[in-house]
Amino acid sequence: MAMTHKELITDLSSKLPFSENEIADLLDITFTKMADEMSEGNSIHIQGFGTFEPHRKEERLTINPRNQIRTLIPPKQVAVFKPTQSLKDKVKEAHRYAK
Amino acid sequence: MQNNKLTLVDIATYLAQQKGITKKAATTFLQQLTITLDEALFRDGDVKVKGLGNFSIEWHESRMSVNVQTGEKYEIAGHNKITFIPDKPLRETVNKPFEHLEPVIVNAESPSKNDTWLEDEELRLKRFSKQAQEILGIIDDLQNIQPKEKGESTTPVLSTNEPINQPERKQQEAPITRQKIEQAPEPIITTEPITTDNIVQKESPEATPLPSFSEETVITEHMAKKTPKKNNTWITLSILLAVIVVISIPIYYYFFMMNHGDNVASTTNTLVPSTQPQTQPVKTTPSQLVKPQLTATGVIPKQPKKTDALTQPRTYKEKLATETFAEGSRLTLMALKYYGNKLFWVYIYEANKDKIANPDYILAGTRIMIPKLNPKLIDIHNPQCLIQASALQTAYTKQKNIKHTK
Repeated sequence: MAMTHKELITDLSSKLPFSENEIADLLDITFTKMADEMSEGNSIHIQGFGTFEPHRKEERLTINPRNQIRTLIPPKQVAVFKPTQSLKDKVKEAHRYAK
Repeated sequence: MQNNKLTLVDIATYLAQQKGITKKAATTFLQQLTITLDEALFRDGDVKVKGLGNFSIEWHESRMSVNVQTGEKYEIAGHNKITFIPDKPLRETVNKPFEHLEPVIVNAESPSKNDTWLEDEELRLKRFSKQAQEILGIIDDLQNIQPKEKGESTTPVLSTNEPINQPERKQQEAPITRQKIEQAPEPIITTEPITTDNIVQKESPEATPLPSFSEETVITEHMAKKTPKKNNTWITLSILLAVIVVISIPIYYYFFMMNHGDNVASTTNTLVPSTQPQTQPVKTTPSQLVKPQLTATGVIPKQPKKTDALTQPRTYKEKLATETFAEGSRLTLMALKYYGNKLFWVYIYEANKDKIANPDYILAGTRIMIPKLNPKLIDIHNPQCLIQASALQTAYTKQKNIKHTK
């Protein structure tokens, strides 16, 4: 089973000199900061793990094939995670996970 | 947008400021975070982080690919890849610059654009005046050709178009039929006013004002009565009639050919009145009165010219291609391939008569010569050609049956 948020906090607090509440607080601040930076177009590189970067998706025109209604989808910015080469290689060689 | 690349240290600095902890502690925290995530990811294959997103390891099946440089095929082995799906809060924050934008339904241009322009009065007038200009241009061109023979006859034609109250409508009325018929391969059965007028002018210059005058007045009267909507139906009706006439012309020709053109003049005379009231109901007697002259001059000289391609003995000297008859081959399929219609197989048969005893039974390996034919003979758009080919086909089938019974 996938790790839950609570498990993550417990795990971190056991390895660091912070209480669970503090860990939760720190996590929250970290992720909010990352999101804010990305919304401004900055990317965050974490060594050995990967890069979180914002990607701009251009506006586009869609046509509903059923009723031919044409809709203009506005541009948007999405967060993209690019793992580092070392992580990619590590993942590539990993066993196949049952889903 | 700054597009700066931040590192873990920058985040740690920020964390230290916010929480009042040392930079070192913050850095250790972040490093531990990534290590834990990494471990969890490899242990479970996926990890959910609230506020950040969902990392998961996805298996990608092996697939075939092509080396774009050499064109060589090779297999990409199955492998794992990390996918990251951002959490909703992260997604929303990242998209903040474009948050206010909403999908807009674009007003689709109605597919029935051709119909709406008839409804809109202004658009219609615009289009008609454009059309009128085009037609005036055509008439001008015609006049440039004609006056060399008779200079003074130019003015009456022009007068039909100018002095009318509603030029757009009038021109749109008659000229549509004109244009249609002008496109027809044979401009002989002259339901179109242009030719009649011009020829009339040549024959009897003193009669010229009559047709144009009558046409003009009748049409304007006609137009005054009609509402725009009725007018539209009238246009379509006239176009339809014109098309019917255009189609019927070659069929009439076919019958002429059958009768061997002995009494061409009489047939055309009977034919002209029958088609004329159909297409041009507004036309009055003056123009009909001069019809006989017209048929005498215009129709007869053209008649033999047209039938030449069909009636003259066919020779198959030029070769287009050579096909070897194989299992499953058909003369009809060859005809379809080279001439565009199955019916024209008869010409292939005629060209290869010495090799083909029975067109229904051809030995495999027979070399079939595909003759190069007069394009007029195999014009798939000319019904006359098709009729001719099918007549030949019937003839050959009969011959064959007779041989069989013998």
